[in-house]
Amino acid sequence: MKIIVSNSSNEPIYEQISKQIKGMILKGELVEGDVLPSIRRLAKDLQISVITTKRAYDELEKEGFIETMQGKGSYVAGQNKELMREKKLRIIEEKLLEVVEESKLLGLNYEEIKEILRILFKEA
Amino acid sequence: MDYILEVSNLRKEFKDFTLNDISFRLEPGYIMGFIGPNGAGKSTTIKLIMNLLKKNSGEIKVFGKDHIKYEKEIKDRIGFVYDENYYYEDLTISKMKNIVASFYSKWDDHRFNYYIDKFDLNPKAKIKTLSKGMKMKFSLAIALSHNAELIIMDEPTSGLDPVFRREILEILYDIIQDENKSIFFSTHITTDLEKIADYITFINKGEIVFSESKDKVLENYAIVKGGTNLLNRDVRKKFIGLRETPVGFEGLTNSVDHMKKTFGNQILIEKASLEDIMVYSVRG
Amino acid sequence: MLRIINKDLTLMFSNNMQKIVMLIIVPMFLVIIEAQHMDWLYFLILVSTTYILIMTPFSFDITNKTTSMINSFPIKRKEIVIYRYLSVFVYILIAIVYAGVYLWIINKSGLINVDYFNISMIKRAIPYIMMIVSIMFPANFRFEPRLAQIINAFLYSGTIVFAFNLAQRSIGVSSDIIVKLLGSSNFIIIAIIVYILSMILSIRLYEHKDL
Repeated sequence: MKIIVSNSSNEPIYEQISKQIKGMILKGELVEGDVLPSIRRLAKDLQISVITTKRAYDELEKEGFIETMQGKGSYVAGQNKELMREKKLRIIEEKLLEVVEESKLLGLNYEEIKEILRILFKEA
Repeated sequence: MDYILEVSNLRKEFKDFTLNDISFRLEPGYIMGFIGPNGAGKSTTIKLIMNLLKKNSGEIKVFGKDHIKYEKEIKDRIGFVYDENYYYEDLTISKMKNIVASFYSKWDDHRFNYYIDKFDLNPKAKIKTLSKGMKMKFSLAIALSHNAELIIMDEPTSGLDPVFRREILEILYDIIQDENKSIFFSTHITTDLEKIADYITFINKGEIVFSESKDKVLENYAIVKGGTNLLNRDVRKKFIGLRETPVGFEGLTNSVDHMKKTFGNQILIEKASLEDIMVYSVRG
Repeated sequence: MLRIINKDLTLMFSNNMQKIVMLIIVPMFLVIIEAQHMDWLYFLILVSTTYILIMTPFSFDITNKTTSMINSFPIKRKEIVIYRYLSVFVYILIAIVYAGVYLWIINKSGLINVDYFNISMIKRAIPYIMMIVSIMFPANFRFEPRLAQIINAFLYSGTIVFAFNLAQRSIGVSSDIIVKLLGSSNFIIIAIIVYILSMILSIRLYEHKDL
C-alpha cells in the first residue's frame, strides 16, 4: 500500500490521504476486508498528527469506504457491488481497447485474438 | 475520564509578571504542543501544574482529579522532563535510577534498561560526565519507565541539535502508539511540533492566545503577500501581524476567505507555519 | 519515608567531601579542647557530627538544584518535612556510634584518654540538638538557600561557643545552673514540645513556598 503526502501542497493532508485510499479502493488495489494501518501507526509512518489521520479515516467511513471496529482497527468496507462492477468493467474495456489497437497495428485479426484469449483463459 | 489535563482560569501573580486566566484541556491519547516566546509563561504554567509554584486562583485537574488534593496519586502517573535536568552529579546513572525508582509504584526496570540501551547510555557513568543531550535522554528514559500516562515536557529540546531533536520526535511517535498515553510538550522551537502535535495552545505575555487542534489552526491562518498599494486602514485591521517593505508587504491573517474575495489574483496566499503564527502574533 | 533515607544514605556514601569533613571533626576538636573537659568534647563531637549528617542532604539539594526534581516525584511536601524531623534521631544514633567507635580507637591507641560513651552527655546533647534543629529547619524550609546557610553557620558557631563556655563553667562549679538545666527532664519535655511545634511550623511554611 502506498500513501504519499505533500507538505507543500495546498490540499489539506487529511484530504490527500482519504483521496489516495479511495483511489486504491476504486482501482481494486484494496479490496473488501483489507485491513488498514491503525491511525496511530499511519501517523507515525507519515510523521503527521494522529488527529489528521483520524480525520481522514472518519471521512472515509462517512462516505462508506471503510469501517472501523473498536479494538480491531479499520478495514475496507464491502463496496456497492453494482458500482464496483461497473467501475471494473470500465477498466476492462479500456484495457481491451488497448489490446485491439495494438493488434491492429500488428495486423492481427479478431479470430487470432480470440484464440489467444481462449488459451489464456484456460491457463489462468 | 474526559480530559487527562484540564486547566481552568489559572492565575499566578509575580512582581513583574502575571499569568492570567489560563485555560486549556487535553483529551487522553493526544499530543498538545504548548508554544510561546521566551518569557511567555510556559514554564510557569508547567510548574503550577506540578505544584512547584503555588497558584493564586484557578483549577487544575489531572486524570480528572484536583492536582493538589490528589498530588501523590497524580504524580505517580506523570513522567516529567524539564529543560534543566538536575540530578545528583556525583552519582552514577544506575544509582540515580535506584533513587528515582523507589518513589514510583509502577517502576519498570526492563523498560528503563531498554531505553538506556537504545539511547546508548552507560549505567556506570557519573551524572556529571553527561552532556546536556545525554541528560535529557536520561530524563526521558526515567519518565517513560514507570508506566506514566501523561508525559509533561518543558522545553526538552532547547539547546539540542536538529538531529537529536528529530530522534526525540521519533521516540514521541512510539510513545503515542499507545492510545492511553498523552504528551504535553512546551517549546519555542515550533518546528518540532509542526508534524506531530494534535493540539496547539499558544501563550503570550501570560495569556492564552488560542488552544485549538493544529489542523484547524493551520487552516485558519495564512500568509498573504502583495503590493503595498493594496493596504488601507480596513485591510490592515485584517492582519494579525504585518511586515511592510519598499517592495511589498507580507502579513499573517486569519480571514483568508475575505482576502481571497477582496483581492483575488493580486495577492499570493501561502500556508502559515506555526513559527509564522507565533512570530507575527508576538511582533504585530 | 524509607526511600528518602535510601536517597540520603546513597548520597552520603558517594560523596567524598562529607566523609572527609566527618573524619577531620574529631581530631580537630581534640586539639582545641583541653584535657579536663573530655565530657564536653564528647558533647561537641556528638552535636557536630549530627549537624553534618543533618545538613549535608539539605546542601546536596541546594548545590545540585534538585529541589524541583524531588518535588516532582510522588511525594507531598508535608512528608518531606516530617521525614527530615524524624531523620534527626536516626542521625543522632549514627553520630553516637560513629563518635563511640572513633574515640574508642583513639583511646586504645593510648594517645589521649577520651570519653567514647557518656550517657549524661548524650542526655544533654539530644534535647540540645532538638532545640537547635527547631530553629534551623523552619529557616531552611522557608528562606532562600544563601540566607538559610548563614543562619545555619550562625547557629552552629553559637553552639561551639556555648559548649566552650559550659566546659569552662563546669570545672569550677560542678553544679552550674545551666549545665544542670540542660540535663533536667524538664528540658527534655520542653525540647519535645518545641520540636513538634517547629515541625508544624515547617510544614506550613514549606507547603506554601514557591520553589
